[in-house]
Amino acid sequence: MGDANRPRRSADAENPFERYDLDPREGIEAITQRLRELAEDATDEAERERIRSAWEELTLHPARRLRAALFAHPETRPPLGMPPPLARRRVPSPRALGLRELAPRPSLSAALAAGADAGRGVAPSDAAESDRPPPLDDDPWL
Amino acid sequence: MPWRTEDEDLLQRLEDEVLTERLFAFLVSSAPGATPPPALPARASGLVSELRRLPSGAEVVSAVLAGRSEIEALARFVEAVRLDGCPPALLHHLALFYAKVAAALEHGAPEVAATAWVRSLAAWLALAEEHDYLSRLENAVLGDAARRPRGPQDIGISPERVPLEVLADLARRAEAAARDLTPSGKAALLALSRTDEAVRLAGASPATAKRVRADAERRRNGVIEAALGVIGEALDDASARGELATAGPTLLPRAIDVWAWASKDEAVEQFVVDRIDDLGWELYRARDWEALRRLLDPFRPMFDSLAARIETDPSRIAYAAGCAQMFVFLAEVEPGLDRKIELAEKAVRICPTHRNGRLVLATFLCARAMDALRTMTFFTHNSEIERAAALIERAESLNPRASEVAAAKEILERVKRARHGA
Repeated sequence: MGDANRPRRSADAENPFERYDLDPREGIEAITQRLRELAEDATDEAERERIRSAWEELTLHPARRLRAALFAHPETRPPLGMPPPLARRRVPSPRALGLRELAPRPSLSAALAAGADAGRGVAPSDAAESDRPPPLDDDPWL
Repeated sequence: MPWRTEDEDLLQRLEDEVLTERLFAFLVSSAPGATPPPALPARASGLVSELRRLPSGAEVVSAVLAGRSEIEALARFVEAVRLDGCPPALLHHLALFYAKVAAALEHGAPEVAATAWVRSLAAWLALAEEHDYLSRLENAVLGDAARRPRGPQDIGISPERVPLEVLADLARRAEAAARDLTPSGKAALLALSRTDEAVRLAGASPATAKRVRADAERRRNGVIEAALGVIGEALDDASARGELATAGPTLLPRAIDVWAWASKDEAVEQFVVDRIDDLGWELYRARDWEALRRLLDPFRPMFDSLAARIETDPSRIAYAAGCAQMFVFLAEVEPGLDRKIELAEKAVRICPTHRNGRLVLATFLCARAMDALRTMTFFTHNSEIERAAALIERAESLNPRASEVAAAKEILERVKRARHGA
């Protein structure tokens, strides 16, 4: 359930309001707008033709529109709200990235760089704060 | 990330979709002969969101979702919803949901499908009684056109007409199946005969009940006429060709299939009685008792059914004579005298003034009396003679001019004289 383009097996499910998830109370303009969007998204000509027939059925014949509205489930589901905001992306460092940050994944590269520093005798605590490898969770590529 | 109201709403939509699918599958799959349930439109799940708003609705839904109750609990809850006073949007959902259940069941389980059609009609009736919801929907859909005064050019459907549109749909469904007598038509036809039940479930007014019953009956009769029309035309053709006696016995039994398809409707019984009459007389005049018996035998349950209707409702007098004639034919082809009398008695009981019925019963009663009198001896008890005398008296009251009455009376007198003389 839930997909307006999902194929139906029952003739009773061919009500255009139900098939294309249209609200009959929204009027002809809204019906036209929604069906136009669906037609633009349609991948084959047959589906576009079905959408055109539905549009004619619902907009050119008021009596048929009313009949279809009567025999379509009303919209009584809780309204869909806004999706949650995307997770905050880490602001890239203003420092220009060198080749070593770009080639492998930055966090891994930084972790490797930290290891390299250690190999050169630089204690991790001595490293500048900005040079510390970021946690993997903040890696924009992961 | 905090759990927002929108997230809760989305979760509820998804849960309702799952539950609606499960409820639909349960209702459709639990019937005998069920086929895999078809897909439901997304908005059908608004049914469950409406059910959540009913007292204890949310608890039932939660219990099923949490696995504390089976889906059957939700089905029982839906079935127990009182339609009068029910929120109109829920009525709208129920009307359409049950129609979808019926459509999914009509091929495999027509009787169960008919019950779903009745529930759907009941929800429409309750919605029509509420009136405002359908009026608002009409206004919203038609805009200015809905506000024009009602008239012959009116494109709208007034709320009280909506259930009649549903009946028209049922009739179309039945009529489409009338030629092949498919189960889907049987379900729709059965639903058309159960409008009183729908009215009762909806708590609709007596005026609505009367209007709906009359409309359903008219449509039902139309469908049955269409189903019988095929046989009627074939019989008329055979009659025009002078082949009724040969073609009739092969054409008429199709009416038995129509009778079963129409859930033993009286109109089929009347049709058969009408049509067998001509054919029966043709065979009767030809004294072809075996052919007459073969013609009548398959229709005995139909004759019994019509006879029972007439006996319990004397206002059905129009078909009393025709039905009585069938029992006269049956009496004629029956070999045993006891059974002959039984069938002739039934003919006279159905139609007390039926001339042939009275005639054959009188004849059989005389035959019974004469049989008894001929075996009497000197030692026969008086009560047996009195019983024979009563049979002759009854025969005389039924048909005083029957030749058998005179013959029986003569034997009776002879027996009496013999005893008196002794």
